[in-house]
Amino acid sequence: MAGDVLTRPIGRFGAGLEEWEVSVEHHEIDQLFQVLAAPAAADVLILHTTSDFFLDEADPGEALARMDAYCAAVAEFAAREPALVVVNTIESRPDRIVGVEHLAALELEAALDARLFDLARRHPSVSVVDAGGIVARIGADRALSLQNRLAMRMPYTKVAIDALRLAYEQAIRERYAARKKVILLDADNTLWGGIVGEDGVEGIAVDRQYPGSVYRRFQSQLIALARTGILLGLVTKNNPADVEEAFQRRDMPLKLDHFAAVRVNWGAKSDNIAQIAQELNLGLDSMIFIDDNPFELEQVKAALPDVDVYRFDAAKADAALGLLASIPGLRTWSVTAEDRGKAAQYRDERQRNVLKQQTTSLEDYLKSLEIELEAGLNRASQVKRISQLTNKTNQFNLTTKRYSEADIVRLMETGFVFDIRLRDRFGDMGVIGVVIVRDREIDSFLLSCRALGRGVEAQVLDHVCRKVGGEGLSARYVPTRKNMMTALFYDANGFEIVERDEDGGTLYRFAGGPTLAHAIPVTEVD
Amino acid sequence: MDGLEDRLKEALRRVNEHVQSPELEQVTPDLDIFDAVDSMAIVDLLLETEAMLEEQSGAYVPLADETIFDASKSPLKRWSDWVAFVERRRADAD
Repeated sequence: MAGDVLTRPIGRFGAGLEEWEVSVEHHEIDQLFQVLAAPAAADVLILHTTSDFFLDEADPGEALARMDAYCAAVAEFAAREPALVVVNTIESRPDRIVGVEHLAALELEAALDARLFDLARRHPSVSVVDAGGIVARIGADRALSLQNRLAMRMPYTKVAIDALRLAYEQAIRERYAARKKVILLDADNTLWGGIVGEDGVEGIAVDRQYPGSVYRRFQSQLIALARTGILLGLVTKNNPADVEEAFQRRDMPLKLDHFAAVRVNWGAKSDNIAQIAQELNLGLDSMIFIDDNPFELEQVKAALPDVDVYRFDAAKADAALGLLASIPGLRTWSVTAEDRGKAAQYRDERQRNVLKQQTTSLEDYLKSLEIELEAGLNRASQVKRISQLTNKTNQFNLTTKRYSEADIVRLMETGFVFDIRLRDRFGDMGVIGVVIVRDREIDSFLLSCRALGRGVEAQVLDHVCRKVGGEGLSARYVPTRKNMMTALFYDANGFEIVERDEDGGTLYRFAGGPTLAHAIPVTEVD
Repeated sequence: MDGLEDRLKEALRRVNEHVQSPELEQVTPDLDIFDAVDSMAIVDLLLETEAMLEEQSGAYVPLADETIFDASKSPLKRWSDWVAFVERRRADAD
């Protein structure tokens, strides 16, 4: 961390990053430009600047020039170094003595912030923490101390420091932590007020008047979240006909089509959730369950401890409508085209399953899918998606190495980074696979679970071996709690064991490569 | 002093979780915090103590002044002076 303030109190990271071993190094105060000119010393560089850094004894032109110089230095660092860089918005709020001058000061602060936003837009490895928003949320009088700013070079009170620390933790999590994939929702008193089986379709509250407006807004929030790639599921104890009728007859934002999986029955919710996990081929730890009933939440938590559960309490509208934004696992820095199309992809998958049930053999089924692969190599346009896949793929992932976007850019400069796209007669599944080869070793080999069971795995390996040359190529399997399905992947596809350690980690070398039962066309793309 | 000293000890203990200075483990009236830690730990202690006071009274009481970092005048040179200093600042704020 570096800043124009003491960064140690802000950088005391804790529970928010507990799954990683984090050590924080603090540069001397006022060394921002020196730090930016030097090579990156860590995976993440947090730069904390206060308004004094830009505005102290400066006229507007000078303040903007200072910000331009700062942004140029950050941009140069971001283009040169693989580290994630986190910067922050202006924290201060100008005093009002002359109204129009106050407006001009606000305008200047907005212009300064706008330059930071532009910086983040142009450089994928730059994140922005909204220090101004944090101060506003707490209240400037409570969050800032001019006494401390002048006496200690620390403008914040402890409450603001704690909030900033959480925001920086979140900024790091947005880049490196796997995002949750599914929100499973109860219906009665969660998607609408009342119990449809008792109150009737016309008796449930989901209109524009309070309390129906709470549910209506919650539904809109869920739709917005679904557009960022989160799948929705419905798990409710009800008669199916009542729920269907509610969605058909009542005017509300959510439609049944929005749900990737629906379970309306009187069985245990944990059983229904476990079935949905199987149906969607997703891990339970990628799921969130929301219900108004503490008993149901307890039941699910006890039976499926990997599922995160949250209570929706419409009587507390602020908490209820702040619920989704408060769940760390739903946050991410950016979304890809694949994320946006996720709901459609699962709809396509349901159609595939229908076809699978109609065809007589697996071979016929695979042929009827008319699968095609596209293979890209070192494509800058795919950096975001490739990084995302390395960070969230757990099951078909031979080494489970996590890479930031900046890491991927660096790997593309020195090695081979393949991105694999899958299309079939039902639609485009987007980029579903990544293979990274460096120093004649397959460093990462991973496929999204949605793409498995189609013979794609061996075809991708075959393509990679052809492109980089099989002779002298090595590969590795690193076991984790979740990737057991890949333990024998290289054994079954023309690689032989060189050595195996006591934990099951195995080093292989190329021994002919895969034998393909069904060749899938692979098109190379730029 | 309505438990103020105990709360100041608690604030010091929290700061020392990060600083880990053996000299701060035993609080005596003569304890010299100023020489036991660096200036960043002093900032930490002021912030922690301010937060503790705010939690207790609901009012923000700024503690930093020109004496805090002055080796000859700092109330942090003696624990008993520190307690009296905070008590005074709190009374001034009322």
